[in-house]
Amino acid sequence: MPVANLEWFLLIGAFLFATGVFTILTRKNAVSVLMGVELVLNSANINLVAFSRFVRSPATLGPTSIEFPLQGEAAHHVYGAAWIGGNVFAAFVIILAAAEAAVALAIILGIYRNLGDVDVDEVTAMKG
Amino acid sequence: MQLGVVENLSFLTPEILLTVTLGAVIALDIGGPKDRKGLVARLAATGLGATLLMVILTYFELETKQRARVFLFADSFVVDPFSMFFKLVAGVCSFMIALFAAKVRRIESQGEGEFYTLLLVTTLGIFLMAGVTDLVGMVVAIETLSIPSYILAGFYKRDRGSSEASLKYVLYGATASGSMLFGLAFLYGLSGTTSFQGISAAIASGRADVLSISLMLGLVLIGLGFKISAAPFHMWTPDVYEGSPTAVTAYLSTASKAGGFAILIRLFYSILARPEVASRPEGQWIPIGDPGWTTLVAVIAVVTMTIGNLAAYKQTNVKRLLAYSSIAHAGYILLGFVVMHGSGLMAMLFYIATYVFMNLGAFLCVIAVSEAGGGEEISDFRGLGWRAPFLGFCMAAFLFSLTGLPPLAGFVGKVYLFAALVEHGWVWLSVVAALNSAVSLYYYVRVVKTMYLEGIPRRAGDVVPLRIGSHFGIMLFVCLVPTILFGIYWQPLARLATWSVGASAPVEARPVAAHK
Amino acid sequence: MIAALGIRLGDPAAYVFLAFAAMTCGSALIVAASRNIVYSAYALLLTFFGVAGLYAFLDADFIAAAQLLVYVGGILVLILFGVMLTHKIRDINLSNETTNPIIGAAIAGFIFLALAYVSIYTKWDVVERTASPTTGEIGKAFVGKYLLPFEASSVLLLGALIGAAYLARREKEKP
Repeated sequence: MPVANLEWFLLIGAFLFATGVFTILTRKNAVSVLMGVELVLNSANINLVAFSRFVRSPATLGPTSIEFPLQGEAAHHVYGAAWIGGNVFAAFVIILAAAEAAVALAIILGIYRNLGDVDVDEVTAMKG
Repeated sequence: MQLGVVENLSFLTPEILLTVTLGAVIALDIGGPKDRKGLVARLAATGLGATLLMVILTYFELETKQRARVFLFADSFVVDPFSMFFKLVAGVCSFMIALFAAKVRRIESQGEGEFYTLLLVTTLGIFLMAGVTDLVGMVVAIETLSIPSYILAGFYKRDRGSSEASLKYVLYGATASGSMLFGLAFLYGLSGTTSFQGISAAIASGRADVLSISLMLGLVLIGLGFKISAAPFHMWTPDVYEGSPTAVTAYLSTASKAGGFAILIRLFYSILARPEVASRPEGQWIPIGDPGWTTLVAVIAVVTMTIGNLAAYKQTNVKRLLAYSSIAHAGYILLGFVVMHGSGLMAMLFYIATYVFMNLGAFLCVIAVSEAGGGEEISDFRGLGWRAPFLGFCMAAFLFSLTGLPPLAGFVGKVYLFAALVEHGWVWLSVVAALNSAVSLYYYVRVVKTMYLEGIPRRAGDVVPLRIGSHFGIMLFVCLVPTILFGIYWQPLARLATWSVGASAPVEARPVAAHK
Repeated sequence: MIAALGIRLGDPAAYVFLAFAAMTCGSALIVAASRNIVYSAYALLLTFFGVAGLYAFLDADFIAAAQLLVYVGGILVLILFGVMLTHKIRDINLSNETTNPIIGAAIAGFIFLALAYVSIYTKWDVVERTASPTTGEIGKAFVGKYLLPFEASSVLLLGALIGAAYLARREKEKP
């Protein structure tokens, strides 16, 4: 088992989440807000991977499936182990974070060209 | 070896067709002829129409084969009447938006190919949101909807309002989905599995106390509440709706919202509730674990509709007014959620289906007016009832339907919602909702008043007609028909909604025979 | 006492773990608190490295590698580009001020306490399991149970690519 308990990793995750939220709340600069979002996504990933390593997973792949032909050992063989779920989830989060960061930065660059500034508070053409 | 997947792939025909259309649109945009004015739009609309046809065929197939639901990919995706209902609604919205956008000059000149590509990707996202029963699929589906939506909101690159809308949308959206992910990570940790069914079992086991469960679900609710713009996660809505291209606003307020409701109902009714009698999922539902969440949702619904209606009062921009109105409508739809009975869910589905048409229609009127040279302020609508009689009539019908006046579809939808509430002991909630509807009459009527009672021509010859073109006229008519028809003859839609709810049972319930 | 802390202090690896944990949390604090956006960006680099180290301690070899490749090699570079392209080079007063740090800190502190409560007081179903390589299993899961999200995310990436290129591209609007 890893050198530290599950709770250690969860507390680090909670800390990263809180700092991410703080960054998002207190920053005016859009790029800084984006950094806060990345902290939040990393915190979720730490939790996912930690749970994947520590937590017992029921053998949910296959057996309850009604239409799926492969059961038990065969299902495990083809569809992978159930405990890997958290790792796979984390991999997807990384993919989505990359897409989100690319789009967000394209938008920020676009607004910079339009306004010459990326302060969120300056974005005030609309009020009310 | 994976024969099962191939066999059941026929149930994914709508999604596959959508992806093929997407590929064809990109290919045409890159390699097509130079003077292909409107060709991309026509291709995308044709593909969406074919997809819609496949959705309807799959719907029938589910009924005729007596199979209420088909599970795919080791139970991580389900094709059932509930998901097909939302695919139908979202498909209709996308199809209509594709048709409207074809005549919006600015979209055409800025990059048709990109617009329709992104529209098709978001549609695929909603289709997946309707059917996922797994956390990973859920997150990917929601982001497949969200990320292209951020770009669509800022599609008018040189327009300050549009790029601001997209910046706000992406920053709020990324924060909301990050919080949701953190909540989902806890749910995964609780159960050790990513499937809704396993999470439901873990919550039922009582391994986490009520406070912890509430916190986890609260985090998830941030992400989903953002998608349906429920209070207090609605702040982005007015700015994004006002700044975005109107075709995109129409899309965000209908299809995107329907997708949000689909995943909200699926998630909460899969992990936090089970039907009282497993073979009759359309009846009473029993909460699992913490029963307090219905009260929480009731409070959210009340706050949402009240904020939406009160803020709509002082708006002078029609798009912004409709944005607040759509917040209020998210509140009404949430009412069906708290009933914990099939009748509430059915009322939600019915309301969403009717709401989509009246809201699309109202935004279509805004597009038609601005394409004909008018503006988006309420004052720009002065005398519109005289200058463009058909458009004025349609807009009035859509607004009255949004208010919930008979004999229009919005009225029947509200009756179903309120009846479900009263029937199951939520009388105070239905009173608050009825009061809210009464309040909303004021600002909807204000627009109608501006159209008909201001700028009345003195003499017949004074009328300056506003020509909206036959394309928009036909589209308006297409939205008008269901708005009026479902107000008079609503039974078919009600039957469809009831049947669709019948199969929204959590995954572990035994598959039931198709309901007649 | 040491057992109650939930960490095997007899093992030298525990100190490496503590170093990584301190690096992650400390640099995250710098990201949140620094007034200079360039410092924030470089602190974020350390956070990403620290998180990758934590993944290694969790025997998640594939995710650790992906963290380094995608976050450090991709997202961080994007953010640095964002920082540099959106600021005039001579602009010394980098606009990275906090708006309401006290309220923000109060909210963040409350969130941390709430999440810590959930993390510690929930009876997670922890099981002893020897580590095994994850890459192969992740690959099987991608083409098995998670095939649909896998395909959907490829469509999503295509859409994001086209959209980002569209936004960044020069205007071709005709007058």
